[in-house]
Amino acid sequence: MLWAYFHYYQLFLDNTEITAPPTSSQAIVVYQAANNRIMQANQAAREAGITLGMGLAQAGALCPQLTILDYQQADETHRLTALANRLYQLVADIVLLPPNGLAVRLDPSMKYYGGLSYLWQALKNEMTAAHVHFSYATGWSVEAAKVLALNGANQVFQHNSAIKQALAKCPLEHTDLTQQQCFALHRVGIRDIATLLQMPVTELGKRFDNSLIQYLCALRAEVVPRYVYYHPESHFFSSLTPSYEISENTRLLPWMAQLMEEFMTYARLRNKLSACLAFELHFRDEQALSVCIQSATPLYKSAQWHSLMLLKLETLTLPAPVIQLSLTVSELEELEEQTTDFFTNRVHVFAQKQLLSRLQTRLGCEAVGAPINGNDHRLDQHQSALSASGALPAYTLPSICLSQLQPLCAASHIEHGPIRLHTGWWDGNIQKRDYYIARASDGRRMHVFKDAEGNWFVQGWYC
Amino acid sequence: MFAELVCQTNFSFLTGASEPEEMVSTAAFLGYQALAITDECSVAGVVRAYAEIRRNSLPIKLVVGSRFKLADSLEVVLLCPDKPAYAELCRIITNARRRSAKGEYQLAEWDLKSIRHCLIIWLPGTCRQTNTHWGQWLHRFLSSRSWIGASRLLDGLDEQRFAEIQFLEQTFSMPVMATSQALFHHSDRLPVQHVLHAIRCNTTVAELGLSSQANAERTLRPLNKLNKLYPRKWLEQSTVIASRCQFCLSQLKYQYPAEIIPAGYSARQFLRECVEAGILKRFGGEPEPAIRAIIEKELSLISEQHYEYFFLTIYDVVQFARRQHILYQGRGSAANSVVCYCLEITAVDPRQINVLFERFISKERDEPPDIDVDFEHERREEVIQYIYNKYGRERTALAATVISFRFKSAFKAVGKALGFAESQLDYIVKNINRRDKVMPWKSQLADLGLDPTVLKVKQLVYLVEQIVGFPRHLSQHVGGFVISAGPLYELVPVENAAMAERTVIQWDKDDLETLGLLKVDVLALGMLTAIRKTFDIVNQHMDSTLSIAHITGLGDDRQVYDMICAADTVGVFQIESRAQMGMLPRLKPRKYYDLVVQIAIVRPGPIQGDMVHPYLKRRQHGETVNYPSAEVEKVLERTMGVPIFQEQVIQLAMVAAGFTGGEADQLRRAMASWKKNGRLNLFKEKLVNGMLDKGYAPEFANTLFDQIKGFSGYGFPESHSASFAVLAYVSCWLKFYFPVEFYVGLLNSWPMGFYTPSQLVQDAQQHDIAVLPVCINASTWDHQMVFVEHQKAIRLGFRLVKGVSELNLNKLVSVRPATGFSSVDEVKKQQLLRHNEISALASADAFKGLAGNRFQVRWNIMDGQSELPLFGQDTQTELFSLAPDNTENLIEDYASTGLSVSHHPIELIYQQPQFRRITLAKDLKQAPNQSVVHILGCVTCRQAPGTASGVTFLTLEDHTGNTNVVVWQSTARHQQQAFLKATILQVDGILERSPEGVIHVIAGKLTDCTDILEQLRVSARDFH
Repeated sequence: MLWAYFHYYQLFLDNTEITAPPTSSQAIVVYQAANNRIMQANQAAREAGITLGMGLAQAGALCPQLTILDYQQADETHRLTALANRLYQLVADIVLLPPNGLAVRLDPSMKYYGGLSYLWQALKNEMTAAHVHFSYATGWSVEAAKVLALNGANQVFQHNSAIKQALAKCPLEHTDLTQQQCFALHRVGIRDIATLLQMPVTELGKRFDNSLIQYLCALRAEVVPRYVYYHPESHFFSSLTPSYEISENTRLLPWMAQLMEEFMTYARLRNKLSACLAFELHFRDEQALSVCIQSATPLYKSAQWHSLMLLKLETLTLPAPVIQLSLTVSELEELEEQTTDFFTNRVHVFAQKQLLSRLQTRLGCEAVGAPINGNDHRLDQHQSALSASGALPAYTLPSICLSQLQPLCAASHIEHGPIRLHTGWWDGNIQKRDYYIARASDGRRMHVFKDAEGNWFVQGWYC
Repeated sequence: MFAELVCQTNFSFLTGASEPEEMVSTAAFLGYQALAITDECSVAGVVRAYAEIRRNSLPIKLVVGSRFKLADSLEVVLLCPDKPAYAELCRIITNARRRSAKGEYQLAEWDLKSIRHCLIIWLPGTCRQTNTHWGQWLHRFLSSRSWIGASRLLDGLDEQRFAEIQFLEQTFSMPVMATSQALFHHSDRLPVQHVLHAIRCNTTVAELGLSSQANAERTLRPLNKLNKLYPRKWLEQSTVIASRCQFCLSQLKYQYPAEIIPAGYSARQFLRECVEAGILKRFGGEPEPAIRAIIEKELSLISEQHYEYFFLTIYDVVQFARRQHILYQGRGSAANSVVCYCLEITAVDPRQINVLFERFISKERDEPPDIDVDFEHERREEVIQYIYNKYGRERTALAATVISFRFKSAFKAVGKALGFAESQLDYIVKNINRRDKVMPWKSQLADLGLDPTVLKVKQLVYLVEQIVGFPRHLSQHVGGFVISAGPLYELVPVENAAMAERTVIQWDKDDLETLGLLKVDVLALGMLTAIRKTFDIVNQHMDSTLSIAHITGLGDDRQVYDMICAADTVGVFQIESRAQMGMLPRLKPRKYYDLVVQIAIVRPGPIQGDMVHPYLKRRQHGETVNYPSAEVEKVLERTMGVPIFQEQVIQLAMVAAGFTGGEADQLRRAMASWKKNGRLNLFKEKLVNGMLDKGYAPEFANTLFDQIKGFSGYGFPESHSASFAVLAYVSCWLKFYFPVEFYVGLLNSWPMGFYTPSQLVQDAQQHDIAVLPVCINASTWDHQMVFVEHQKAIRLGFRLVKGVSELNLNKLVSVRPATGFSSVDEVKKQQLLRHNEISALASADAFKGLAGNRFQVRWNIMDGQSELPLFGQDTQTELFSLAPDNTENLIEDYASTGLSVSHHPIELIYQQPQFRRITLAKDLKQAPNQSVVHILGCVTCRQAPGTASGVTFLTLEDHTGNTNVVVWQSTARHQQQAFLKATILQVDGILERSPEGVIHVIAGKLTDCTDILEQLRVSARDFH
């Protein structure tokens, strides 16, 4: 057996750097707050003296102009899955080792490619196209290839003697041994694999549990552990975290296109199509925004999606700078299916979607939706609210809320009130109002308020 | 007229948004007749309100009360009309608090049923069924003393509430009173309240939604507005209740436990008898007339102020310590008392310092005396348990410490409440330099990625400034006990502390001081433990009885002061830090009082107040000092015209600016909290004008005020310094005459002091003391003094080995044969040590004499099968041939014990060719001044004191000593990597030697040499 191992040592960072210029001097690190350590650092950050495992304060002291990205293991694993999807075009035997490694079994595919060098070239080209940093190595087992890759071998070893020689120099930290096992071995002077492998297995067996012996056997390829091979998901999901916050729609397009291209590759390989791309835009403080780009018929050309995305972005208003975006495509159709059926129920569903999509395109997404009570004292926050807390204000809300306030001109008298609102300072939409229920001369009940300047307005009507 | 009787301050933690002082001031300004401070199940804020009224003579009555919730369906406020009611309230709060964990409370129906004295304001909800139930309940049990509290809050529920209140009033014939249920003193505080609410709910302000306050009506509202909102009858009822509340905190009188006075004695007689006995002991007969006069003056003042019980209580505690051979020493202003010296509370001989009893107790200041007693840190618990056992838990509790929002906690909490990402807040907090005088923290935000023009950032800055200083929770004082004659909970509520079996009262030391209540400070001091342990060793081997009094009685020792002047003070008390050591050769202390000055002068107060250099110049060059007046001369002559002690500043204010005792006391309090509330500036005008009126020059007046500002928060009282100087001298004396015993005593008392065991052992070795490693057959748990070829040496103990238990090792030592164990297996067979403990001992090379190297021993120990009967063959060592080299031994030593007695890291690497030009620490003395030197060492200390304007002081340690390195800000900035990361650092710099011989190396080039011994983790102690 011959395995290759790819270690993506800054996968999370690469995920965010796709459109950043390679000569960028901006220092960026990926930071894990839970244990206060720098997980990944780009070249500029490393040049500033930042090393992995460092705390945030020290990193900040070494490089004041530091960009910090919050490490999300789930995001990195998603990205790894996307890479596996790419490689799946070339080889079938892929083992995912989240969050940042994958192993590819080479020997079954070698004959299809006419030898190791051609296969390796194909794999390497694909990885280069993916714009990710990685170290790699080949070995007689996943374990051996992984240790060599983590040690930064970056070599394709074919012969056992070469693998053995390279393995011997690797420190124990690059193995899958637990920290405790490594610690125990260090304390008896065993620091590298060569020394470890020299120890008789029976002696090791007296001192360590089975997991260490099993691992050593796997490292020597004396046993083959069971691996779960990767199978692509039936739906598509991918996400990106740009290294800067995006506040302009036009800047958003390349990132969306990047995700869309990933999807198109995915779909093309499976002979699938979709009529809906569900983007989700994440903001630092605001709730995530779903941007659904729909087409009446499934599309298979990137350019067509591209023009739709452009159209969508023209009308889209970003409530805040985007910090992350993702794409989910769950409704995939077979390429030939769209022409088979003309009069079945599907048409109605299709028509309904088409109508909704037309309405939303014509009126804007915000204009089509259901009213929901918001968790806010301010009434104008209720209409645009996306989710309800279930709580209701202490007083009866008007049946109809006016989107545009009307000055109170008609003669009326107050039936109830005042209810004083003095709130909203945190989002700049300060409201200082005294609300009343007033009855107009024609008998209609109005929800009116007096603002801080003493002006009266109608907010809504009671039925 | 109106009285607000439901009012929560920020002592209803994370609910109220104004300080008690702000509440009473505003209420007085608005013309309220009275204000009740009714924090939730607490009276923690009332004393501050009381102090504010007294300080400013505000025309308002303070009512003491508290608000309670019972099972979410009943909310009541209890008010205290008289002293029995106050005792009742304290009991109810105590019961409710003691039932729950720290910070929570649980009120029981029984608590309310048992009310006989308090007045009750019921705050009904809007649910008819619940209201009817509680209306009946109150009508049945407490009808004669209950009111319904009506609130018009303009929140949409007013009509519903009023309808309920009218129903309840008619049904149960209960009178109604008006209240705003104030949470803040001014509507501007609404955002602060929102933020505190969000912090309490662990959410953001935006997500509070409908649960937040809809408006700012829960504030203290003007009377004309209240007249519009409430019927006159309801407003009048509030004043009716207020007029029934005649209780004032000034009525609280402290009753000390009577059992300390033997039958047939009055307190006065007994104190006199104890003092007379002490006089004989301390002075060996009748003291000189001057001292006798002071004693008589003190005793009469103590009697006048009724402080006899206080003195006798402390006397009782220290007598216990004396019986148990626990070393102790009184400090604080008590050091100014000859009576304390006679009662053996303090060890400072009044003949050696300028005793000013007025500094201890002053009739004019009318403040309680402050007697802090330090005990050995390892045995303080025995003293605490003695107090608990003697007086019972009902009568004893610790004073509280109010934990307030500091900048960092406020920034993080407010930022989170405003919705900033936590990692962003973490990053900013870690990178803001609060000491940057040029760039305030607000300006630094822009560099750290927050745009100061953005609304949210503006809000963050504003709200952080508002919330800094707000109380967060109550914690326990380090050792301030309050002891009373009756149950303490009738005097002040008691609640659970975080520590099991500890209870705290709801007032902190300032509150106790305001009310004139006395507390006994039982503090812990590591140096006392070290000194006692040193005494034990010396006394054991010398058959002598060394004691603190014995050493101080010998008078000033020239040789000891020579050692002090040479700054050979690693490990001694107080004068051991690098700043102190740098000052010693300059100040050249030659007598006890010099040490008193030395300890007080190297402090931020005198440094910021620019007092150090004038003092040094006058001392070194004998400059004549011109005093502006005889009064000032009297205050300053003992410190050569430079105010060094806090007492001197206070005295100057009195003699030069005409402050009364009371005003001087206020000035002292303002000084202590200047950074927090800026109250000190209020005194500037009075101080400066007072001095001008008395004919002092404006420059003198302004300089004095600047010095007072510099002192604020950091000033050191002479009385503290005097007590510390005793211990400093005793520790120096021991270090000089009994160095081995002293190091052993120190190491056995660790953790304490400034230096790590590694640094102490280095220092011992540099004094040519042999240090022997941990050995399974020679060590005990503690380090010992042993004799090697008739020379004293230190044998390190098992306590140094990480991961072993004292109990198990002591058991092992007790079964150790006289000839020692013969093999590792023999140790294992005792089955007294856990497997990992044997491994830890192996790593520490404790089995060196019994088996092969430490790798082999560990390898053998790891073999679990050899312990089984059928596998017990000892053949593994033949198969295992790994052996540690010097570096690995060093790494193992540091990993297992934190130090190495065989090698120093620098000793191992400095022989390498690239370090040819290195000068070792011991050779720097020979290097010429202003010459370029290259030094190499482990970074053992990084200090960036706030007073050093950006300079960082590094201590580099090699195997021959320590070197002080000065790194200028620009040097550090340009070589950040080496500066911040290196554990082994090469510094190329200029040697600077002061005329007194103090050597500093001014850093030029910094080179990180950590990689050379990359695995070595000599952790630097960073002080920023």
